Formats: sequence, structure tokens, C-alpha cells
Amino acid sequence: MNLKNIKLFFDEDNIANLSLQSKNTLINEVFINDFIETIDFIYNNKNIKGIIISSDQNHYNYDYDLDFLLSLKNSKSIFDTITKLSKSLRKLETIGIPIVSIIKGEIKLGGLEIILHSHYKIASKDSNTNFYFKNMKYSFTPFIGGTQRLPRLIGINESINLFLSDKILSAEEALEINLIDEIVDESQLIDKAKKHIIQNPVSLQNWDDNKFKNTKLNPFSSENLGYFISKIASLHANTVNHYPAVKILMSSIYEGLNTDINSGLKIEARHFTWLIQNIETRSMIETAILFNKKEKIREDIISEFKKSFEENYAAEGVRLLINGVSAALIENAGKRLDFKAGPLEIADSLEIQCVINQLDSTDAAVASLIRSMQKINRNGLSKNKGFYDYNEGIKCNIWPSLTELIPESKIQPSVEEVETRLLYSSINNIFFNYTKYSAIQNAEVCDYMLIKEIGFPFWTGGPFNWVRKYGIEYFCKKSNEYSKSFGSRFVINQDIIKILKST
Amino acid sequence: MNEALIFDTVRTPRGKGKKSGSLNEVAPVQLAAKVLKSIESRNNLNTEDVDDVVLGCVHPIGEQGADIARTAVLEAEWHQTVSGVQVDRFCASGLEAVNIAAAQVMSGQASLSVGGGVESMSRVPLGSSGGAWMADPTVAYNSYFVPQGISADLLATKYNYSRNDVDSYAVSSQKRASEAWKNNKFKNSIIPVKDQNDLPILEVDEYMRPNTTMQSLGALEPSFEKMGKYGFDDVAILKYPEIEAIKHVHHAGNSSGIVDGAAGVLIGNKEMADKYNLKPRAKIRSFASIGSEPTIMLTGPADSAEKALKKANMNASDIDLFEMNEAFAAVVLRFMEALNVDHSKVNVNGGAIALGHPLGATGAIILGTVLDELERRNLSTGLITLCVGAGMGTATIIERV
Repeated sequence: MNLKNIKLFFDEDNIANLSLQSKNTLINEVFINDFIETIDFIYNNKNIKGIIISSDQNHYNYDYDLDFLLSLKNSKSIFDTITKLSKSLRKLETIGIPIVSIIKGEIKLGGLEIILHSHYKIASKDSNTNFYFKNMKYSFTPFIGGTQRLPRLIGINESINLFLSDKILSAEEALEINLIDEIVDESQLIDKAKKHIIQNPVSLQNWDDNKFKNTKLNPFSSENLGYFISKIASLHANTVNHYPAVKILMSSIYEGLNTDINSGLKIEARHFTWLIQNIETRSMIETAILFNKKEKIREDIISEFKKSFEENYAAEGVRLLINGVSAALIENAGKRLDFKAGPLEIADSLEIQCVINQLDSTDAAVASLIRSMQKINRNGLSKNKGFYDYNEGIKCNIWPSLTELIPESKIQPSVEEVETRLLYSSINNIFFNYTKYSAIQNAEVCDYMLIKEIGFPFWTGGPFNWVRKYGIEYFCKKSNEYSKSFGSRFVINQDIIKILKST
Repeated sequence: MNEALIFDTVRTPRGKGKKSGSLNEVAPVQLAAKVLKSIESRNNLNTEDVDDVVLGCVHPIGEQGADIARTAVLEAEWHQTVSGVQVDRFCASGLEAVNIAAAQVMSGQASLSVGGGVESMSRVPLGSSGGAWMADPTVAYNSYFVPQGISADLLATKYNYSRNDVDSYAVSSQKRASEAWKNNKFKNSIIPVKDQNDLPILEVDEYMRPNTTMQSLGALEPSFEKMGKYGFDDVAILKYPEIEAIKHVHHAGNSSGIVDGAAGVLIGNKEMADKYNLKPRAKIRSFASIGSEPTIMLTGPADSAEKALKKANMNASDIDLFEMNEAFAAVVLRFMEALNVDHSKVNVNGGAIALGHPLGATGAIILGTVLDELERRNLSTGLITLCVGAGMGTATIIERV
């Protein structure tokens, strides 16, 4: 065997020691092939008494190779690649002899997915042993059985909460929730693992044991159903029809936990295959790759962009109001885009005077509305009165008399139309500032800054990325229509079109 | 097409749907069997002539599982040739069962059938049968699932029904129900539930609170506000982005009561009327079920009523009395507004807010209620309708003969 990622040796007790090499900590094609080769080798050696999985520096900071994941292109190749690894690990898990993981250091999700295949998990009593979860709302779901094994090990609700958090679990916390089985001094790790193997010559997972029953694993059990149903609602509301990984996580768990692990693994793989091809998922992975590069952007540039972006967003909301769109619809459209608040709430928080900064000569009605409100002291949050009523800074409701100043049209646009206008206005504002402040090196850095520093919706992958993914020509056509109806702020600079078209 | 003639309507009293309720000690199959036995004896039937028993039941699991209709046929010691089928159209199951029995007769495929329903909500609680609609993330996301109470509050918000409006409606339901009992208006259909020794267990609808006032209702906290905060309000607003916030106006006092009960309607053709010398009380003019937007869920009654009216070549103004299931007060208010029907014609003897809503049985119960009242007032036409989970509605029009 010529393995790059795994070291394998057999000790005097005929125990296979399988050590993951930390030099290459990414789960990608090379890793997958190494793993499969190793497992096949072990599987065919009938004298082996047990297997100890470790990492050469006792780290399991295996993460997913994002470039590799993005390189997977069609459904069949994605499904085949991931099920190849998943099946191989399943073969290991069902081999019959005990498999023990010894755990120390930093454990990331990819490492955890591998550890979950072992029958017994021993962690080092060391403050550096920590399990790192990363909220998968902004990325993708596990695909090496994580969505099936973690709930089966610690419970449905508990695993959903961990998967959708940025929690760091210490070894003690992991032991408490049944994620691991034992904590020992580092020097005892190997001995304890061997002892376990010798004392338990036959070993299988709870989920492969017909006698094992746990109501925590049934989505329909009385202790799970109510929680599960309201969790779906809160996640649906929180993800506003974006961030598909959340729904996919819930579906993988729900569908998988209603059956056995073998079907569950297929369910997980099929969902992942869909998810990784989803346009929003790919945008978010691209953003994550940029995050890893840790671009540095000047603070003054960030604050200039932020100020202009928020004022423009607020002003567009007020313009919609002037057009007769209902305030609730405008605010909900902003929230559905996953901006941090609706435009009128932002106007209040900045003081409604901010809207004036963004107006042009066609906006006389907007200016007049703002002045009327200022006359009656509705200047915004600081006065506890603006487009909303506030009680000591806490938002209560949209000002009921707003419709007396600006009547609502009888016929309201669809929320999608309002969303599109807010999004296009925001993107064109960013493009305008991008050409104005040449201090930003490229479009990707601009996308990164908008998401990381300014609160542009993560699911878009940034304004440049979004326009490229959803179609440059359509964007130009729609912006052109908007510029004719609503003003020059929708006119696209020719330089921007060139940038968009260059990849 | 044959006429589907209604010969008899029977129902049990409604017991409070909790452990302390009077019917909690009676298994649901016994409730259903008592209804069948009563239909047999009141009409001197040779049950060999009955083709089918169709029973609505919304949670057909546990002791309501395994086809409770056929089980009830066996328990009632009806002839073994009588088949039984359990149907589920959520809250309209009992009416759907009547419609299916009527359709069997109308199409000539049956001569005599029973449609009805049963639900022991104290023994098989609400929600026990689970379901993909609310628990499967894909389905729940795609259909914007919210629990029915949130839908009722969404409906009230969208159509501007205030807490005062829904509470006033509830008070009138209690008054009407209590008047109806005082004047013994349910006597034609109601059968007391007795034990195996003929000792009475329950003889009246025990859920009623005749002393209900605006003040007493005003003290009740909204039931669905907390649930709304779990995320359901936001899901409703995702679907209805024109709404700023859901106003939670419904509570235990202006929503249908959780109760136990069973009912049956005997439907047959003219030959059976002649054979048993039964006087047909009414005929089924038309019936219809529809699907409507599932998040607001409860707007279906108006649509299903209009569809049934159209099939019968009738207008809403041709209907003398309506029974519109009082799932939530706002549902009835919306129904009356949509069809432009005056409250004086709707639920004249109160409804489920006062009397309770044994899910699978209610449709058959209120058909009996409206027929009894048509006879008492010597009026001709009645329309029965219910709102239905997941956005549906079912309606039936009857006409006295």
C-alpha cells in the first residue's frame, strides 16, 4: 500500500493501529481512496482482534476540502464519490471486532464523522481536547454518516442543536451527552483502548443491535414530536426560504431516523448530492473559501460602504412607501432577503434624516414625507418614534397613522417584486461605490467584505457572485427597466459589466 | 341518479374530552356500536339489508385503529355481511362519511348505508396520529405548516376580527346552546350513553358553560401566543407578508371544545323506505369538498358551500338554516361574511364552542342538528359545512321531503 493520509501497523496483540496523518487534514479524493484501501486491507485480514483509530499528532482536525467539494459536478459522480467512502466506513463499523477511537486535540466535523464509526471512544483528559461545531446554516450537511450517527448516539434534538451551533465541547461535555465513552490521562489512551478490545472481542454499534431501544431516536415519540415540529417552524422562519442546508439537515435526520442506518446513509447521501449542487450552497462555500484567506480591508472603506449601503436600503424602503406599498410588506420583504432588518426599521435606527442623503431630484415626495415626520418629532429610534413606535428603544409596531400620511395602494405588488427592487437597489449601490472607491482589489474581496462586515445576505455569496450566478444579462435588463421607472440609481456602470463578465 | 334519503340521525351526548369527562370510561368502539344499535332498534332494521357503515375518525390509531367502522359493526352484533370503512378528512370526517354513504345510494351501488363518525379525544388525544404534514421537514417547509390555532389567529388578523368580535360570537354560541338544551331541542337525535347494566353514564352535552360572559372570556389568555413565538407566527408571515404581526385572539372559550362523542346517519333509497315503512325526512341535494390555501387553512367552508350550492343550482339565500362547525369563532365570522349570511340563520342552537367538537363525529352530529331544527321550524333547506385541516372544506346541502 502506498498511503498518503493513513499509517497502518499491527501490534503484538494483532490489533490494527490506524493512524490518520495530520499533514493533509482535508477530506478529499486522495483521502477517500486511502481510507478505502486501508479498510479493505483490514477487512481481508481475518486474524485482527480489533482496531484503534488515532491521529498521528492526536488531532482530528479533519475538515472538508471545499475546492474538492466544488469540483464535484454532476449528481452521479457526487453520489458515487460520497457513497464510496460512506460504504467503506460502514464496512468497518460492521466488521464485528471492536473499533476504538482515541481522541485528543481539536476535533472538527470531518474528524467527528470518522470517529462516530468507532464502537468505543476514549478522549484524553486534556484541556486541549475539544469538539468544534460550526453552524451548517452557512455551509452544508455532513455526508459521511454524521446526520445519521450523531442523532442515534446522542438524540435527535441534541444533535440538531449541535449541528446548528458554533459550540465548542470539552471532553467532559462530550462525555456528559454520550458523544464519547471515557476520559483518561493521555498516557493511558493506548492501554485503555487495548483493554477495551481484549475485554470486548465482539462489538457492534447500538444502531445495529436489535435489542437496543431508545425513544430519543423516534421523531414521532411523544418527547420528540412537539419539539421537532416547532424546531422546523423556527428554522424555516430563521432561514426565510434560503440557507437550504438547514432544511436538508432536518430532512436527513427525520427521514433517516424513521428507518435503519443503511437506508439512512442512502437518504443522507441523496440529500447531500442535491445540496452540494444548489446555487446558494455553492455561493456560500465560495465565500467560506474567501474567509479562510482572511482578506484585510481598510476600516474606512468598510465604514463608507456600510453607511452608503444602509442609507440607500432605507431610502429605497421609503420610496416604496411613497409608491403606495404597505409598510408591513416592505419590512417583510427586507427580512425575507435576510437583511438584518426591514428598511424602515433601519431608517429609524440611523435617524430618518439619513434617507435624505441618498435622494435625487426625482425624490421630492420622499423628502416631503421625511420632513413631515420630523415636524412631529418622529425622527427615529432615538425619539422612540419614527416609522415604528418604540417603548424605551424596544420596537412595538409600525406607526398606525403612517397610512394617513402615505395611503396604501389598493393593489399591492407581490412580496417577490418588493424583494427584487430592494435587492437590485442595494446591489447597484454597491456597484456604484465599488467603482468610486478603487481601494478594493477585486470583486471577490468586495463580496467578502459585504458579507463579513456589512451584513449583506450570506446566501447570495455577495453581490458580484449573485449577479454572475443568476445571470448578468437578466440583471442588466431588469436594472435597465428599473432605471426607466424609478431613477438613475439603477443604471449600471459599463466598467461593472466588464468586471462581471471577467471571471 | 337515485335519491339519497335520510331516514334517521342519531348521536351520543358529548362528554368532556379529558380523563375526568363522563365518556372517558367508554371505549370509542363502544360509542360507535351504541350509535349503530340505536339506529337498528329505532328503525326496526334487519341489518342484513345494510350495505356499508362509513365512519369518520381523525386519529385511527390504538383503540380507534384497525378500521373502527368494521369493528363497531361486529361489536354492535350487526349481520356479518355489513362492511365497514373508516375515513379521515380531518374535522369534516363525519360529514364526509355521510357524503360517501349518500354517494353509494345515489349511484345505485347501495340501498342502505350508514354514515357517521366517532372520536374519543379523552382516550386518543389530539395529534396522536402524527403525520408528514407537520413533522416531515420537506412537507412542513413547502406547505408553510402552522398549527390550526395559529391559522385561526391569522384568519382573524387578516380579516380584522378583534378579540371583542370573537368573544361576542362565543357568548352567543353558549347562550344558544343553553337555550336549545332548556327547550329540549336535541331530543330527536340524542341517545343517552348507558353501561352494560343499563345504568346511565351521560345524558347531556356536558361541556357547555351557560354562564359565559364577555367578562369571563376576557380573563382568558390567548392560547396560541406562546406557540406563535416558537416560530409559527413567522412562518405564517412568510406566507402572508402583508401582515405585520399575528394578533392572537383565540382561546379555550372561543374555540371548539375537546370532547368525546359518536354519531350516525341512516341513508337509503326509496325501496328501503317502502320495505321498512320509513318516512324519509330529507334528501341529500348535493355535497362538495375543496382544497384551499393550507397555511390560513380555515377558509374552506365558504368555497365548499359555494361549490355545493352550484351543484344544487342554488344560492346561499336559498338555504334556510346553516350549520357551520365552530372550530374557532373567526372561522364562522369569515364564513358569514364571505357568503353574506346573517347570524340568525347560522348555528341557531349553538355550536362546537359551547357543545364541543369530537373530530371524526361532528359532521354527522351537526347534520342531525340542522335537520331536527328544519322540522321544528317547518323549513326546507339546510347547509352543513366544516373547515378542514391542511386547507380543505366540506359541505352538504339537505332538503326536507
